[in-house]
Amino acid sequence: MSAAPPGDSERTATTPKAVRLRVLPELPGGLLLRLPLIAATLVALAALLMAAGLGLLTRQYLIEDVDAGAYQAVTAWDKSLPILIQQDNVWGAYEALTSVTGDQVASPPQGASLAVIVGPSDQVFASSDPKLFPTAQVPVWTPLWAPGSLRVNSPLSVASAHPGLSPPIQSGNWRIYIGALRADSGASVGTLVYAVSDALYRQRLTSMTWWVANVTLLAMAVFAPIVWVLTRRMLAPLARLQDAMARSDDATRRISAELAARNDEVGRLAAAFGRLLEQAERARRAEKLAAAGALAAATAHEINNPLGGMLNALRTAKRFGQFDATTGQAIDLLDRGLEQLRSIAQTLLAQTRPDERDLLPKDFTDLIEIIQPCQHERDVQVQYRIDLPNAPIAVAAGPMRQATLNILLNACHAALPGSTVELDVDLHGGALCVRVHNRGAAPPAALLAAVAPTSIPEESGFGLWESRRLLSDVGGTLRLAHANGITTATIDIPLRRR
Amino acid sequence: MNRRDLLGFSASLALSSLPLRAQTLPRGAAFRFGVTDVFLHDGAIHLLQDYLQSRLGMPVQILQKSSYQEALEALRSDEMEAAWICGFPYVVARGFVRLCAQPGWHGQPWYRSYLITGAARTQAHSIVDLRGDVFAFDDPLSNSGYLVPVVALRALGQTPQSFFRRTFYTYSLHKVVEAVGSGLADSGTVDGYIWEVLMKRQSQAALKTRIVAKSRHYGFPPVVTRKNLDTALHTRLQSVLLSAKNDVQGRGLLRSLDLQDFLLPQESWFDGIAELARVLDGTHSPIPLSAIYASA
Repeated sequence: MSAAPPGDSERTATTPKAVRLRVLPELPGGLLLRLPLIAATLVALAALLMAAGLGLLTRQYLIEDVDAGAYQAVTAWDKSLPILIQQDNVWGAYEALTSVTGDQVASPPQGASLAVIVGPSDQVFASSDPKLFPTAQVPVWTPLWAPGSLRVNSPLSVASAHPGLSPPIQSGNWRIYIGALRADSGASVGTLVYAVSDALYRQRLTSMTWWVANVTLLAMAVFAPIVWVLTRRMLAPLARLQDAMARSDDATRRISAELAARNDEVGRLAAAFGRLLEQAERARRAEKLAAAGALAAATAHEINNPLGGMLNALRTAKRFGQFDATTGQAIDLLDRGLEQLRSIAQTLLAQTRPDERDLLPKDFTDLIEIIQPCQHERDVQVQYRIDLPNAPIAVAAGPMRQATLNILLNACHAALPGSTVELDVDLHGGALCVRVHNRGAAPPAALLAAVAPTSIPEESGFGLWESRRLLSDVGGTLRLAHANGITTATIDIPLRRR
Repeated sequence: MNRRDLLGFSASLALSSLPLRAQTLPRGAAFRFGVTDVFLHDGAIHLLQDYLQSRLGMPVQILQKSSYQEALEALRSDEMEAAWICGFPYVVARGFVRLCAQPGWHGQPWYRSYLITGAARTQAHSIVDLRGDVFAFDDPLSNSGYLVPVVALRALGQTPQSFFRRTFYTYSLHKVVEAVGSGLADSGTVDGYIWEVLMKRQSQAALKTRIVAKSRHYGFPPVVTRKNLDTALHTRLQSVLLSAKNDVQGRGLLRSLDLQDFLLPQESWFDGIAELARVLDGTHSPIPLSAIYASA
C-alpha cells in the first residue's frame, strides 16, 4: 500500500469532467492575476495576428503592384519592340528594354528585373543583361530557372485583360511574364520574357514590415497595460470581497453589505455571502443552545436523584412525624418547592431522553401545577379537560410535557388578565391531541404560518420554536391559529407503535 | 543601311553637286547649325550656341540630328546652314557642302578609328581576333564607326555579314562604347576622340572596354556649310570658329569639347577617307590591313 498524499484521495474521487478540466495547464496565482494576464496576452496575440495579417496583405498588394507594373511595361514593349525587331535595330531594342529594367553598365550586375527578346530564329535578339543572355545566341534560362519552385498563377486571371501574355510564373525569386511580340500584320516577330526579382519589392516589404512591427509593439506596449489595469480595476471589488471573506471580524459583514448594494455579479455574490454569514451565525447560536441544553440536562440528572431522596425523606417525616402548625406549613412549603424542582429537573431530562417513558394523564395535572406561578402573576384562570384512559399513553412523556408546558406558559403570558386558559386533551384517530386556547392578541404571522421548526427566532417565539423542535423529534406537530380574539395551539402526536 | 543603300544615297548626293545659287538668310532668321552625337552633353551645345550667337550677331539654332544621313539631307535641302559632321559624310557630300573649319584635337586635324572590345578580353589584338563577334557599328556614314573596319575586312576578303556573327548600328559613337561595355556587342568600332574623352571622364561604359586596334590617322570630323550659303556668312562662321581660342568664351567652348582650337581646313586632310570610300565603292583596290590599322 502506497502512502498517497492527502489530496490524492480527493482527486481519485472527482468526476470525469473535473478530471478533464484539471488537464488544462494551471496558471500561477489567483484569478486576480490570471484574468489580467490572460487579457493582456490576448491583446498581444490579437495585435500579433493583425500584424501578421497586415504583413501578408502588404506582400500580396506589392506582388499585385509588380504584376501591374509588368503588364504595363509589356504592353508598352508590345507596341515598340516589333518595329525595332523588324528594323533589325538591336540597340534600339536594348534601349527600350533597359529604359525599364535599368542599364547593366550603370546598375548593379544583378538587377531587380531583366528582359529578353527571343527572335524568330530562337536566338536572343537583345536583352537587358547581355552578359546573361548574349545577343545572337540561343538563350540559356538557367539564371531564371529554380527547379522545384516553379508555380504558375491561374491563366484565367490575365487571359482577358492581357491577351497574348502568359500568367505570372513564379520561379524561385523571379516572377516571369512571357508575351508574344507581333507585327501589325499579326505575324509573330519574337517572344518577350520579362522577369522581375522579388528584390524589387522585398525592400519595401521589409520597410513596411518594420513599421507594422513597430506599430504593433507600440500598440501592445500601450494597450496591454491599459487592459491589465482595467481588468484589475474591474476585479477590485472581487478582491475586496475575497479580503472580507478572509477576515472574521465586524468588517466582514460591513464590507459584504457594502458590496451587496452593487447591481452586478459581485453584488449578488456579496449578497449570497451575507446570507451565508447569517446562516452560519444561526448555526453557531443553535450549537450554543444545544450545548446549554446538554449542560442543563446533565445538571438536571445530577439534581434529580438527591432531590428524590430529599422528597422521600420529607414525606416520610410528614407521614410519621408530629409537627406544630408552623413547622407543618414550612414542611408543606418545602414539599411543594422540592416537587417543583423535581418537575423542572424531569422536564430537562425529558429533552435528552425523549422516549424515556410513556405519557400519563397525571403529567398534564403536573403541568397545571407548574404554571400556577404564572397564573397568579398574570391573573389568569386555567380550565382543563383531560379525556384519557387512566393508563400510559404511547407517547414520549418528556417532549410532550415540555412542549405542552411551553404552550401553556406562552398562553398564560399571552392571555388577557382575568381571562381563562383552556387545556383540552384527548385521543383522536390514533393520535394524542392537545389544544390550548387563550384570549389575547394574535401571535406574529410568521409563527402562525409555521408548522415545522424553522430557524431559531431572534427575539420572541423561542418557546414555540423549542416545542416544535421537540415534537418534530417524536413525529408530532404544532399548529397555531387565531380567530375571534382566541388563539389556539394544537399539538398532534401519533401514538408510538409497540 | 546596307552597302547598296549607301551607294544609292551617295549617287543622289552627287546629283546635288550641281552649281548652286548663293543664298542669304532672311533678316531676323536664325542661323541653323547641325550637330550629331559628337557632342557628349547638352552643356557643350549651349556653349556653342551662346558663342556663335554672340560672335555672329544673330540668333543661332542648334539642330541635333540622329544620323549623318539626316544631317546631310538637312544641308542639301537648305534646312541647315552648317553642321559638324564626320569626314566620310563630307567626302560623300562634297558636291553641296564645303569645309568651314577643322577642329584641332591635340592641335592636330587628325583622329583615329578604334576597334574596342570588353576589358576582360585581353587576347584580342587585331580585327582578325574579332571573327564571329556581335559587332557594333556607329552609323553607315561614319568613317571611324563604319568605313574603316569595313574596308579593313575587304583586305581580308570579308564582309561584316560574313565575318561577324551579328552586327547592328547604334547611330551614336558613345553608344557603341556602351554597347560593348554592357556586353550587348562583343566588339565595336568607335571614334578614337570620343573613346579618349569618355575615358578621360571615367565613363563606366568606357572603363569596361579596351582597345583592340587603332587605325592610322584620318581627317578629324569637320565643320561644313552648305555650298549655296552666302559666302560672307560662311566666312564669318569660319572666322568666328578659328578665333575661338582667342577669347574666354571660345576657350570655354573648346575646353568643353576637349579641343585645342579650330584650324583652317584643307581638302587633302580627307584624302585618306576618300580612298577608303573608293574601296567601298569598288573603284579602288583593297588596302592592306596593315595600312589601315596601325596598332593597339
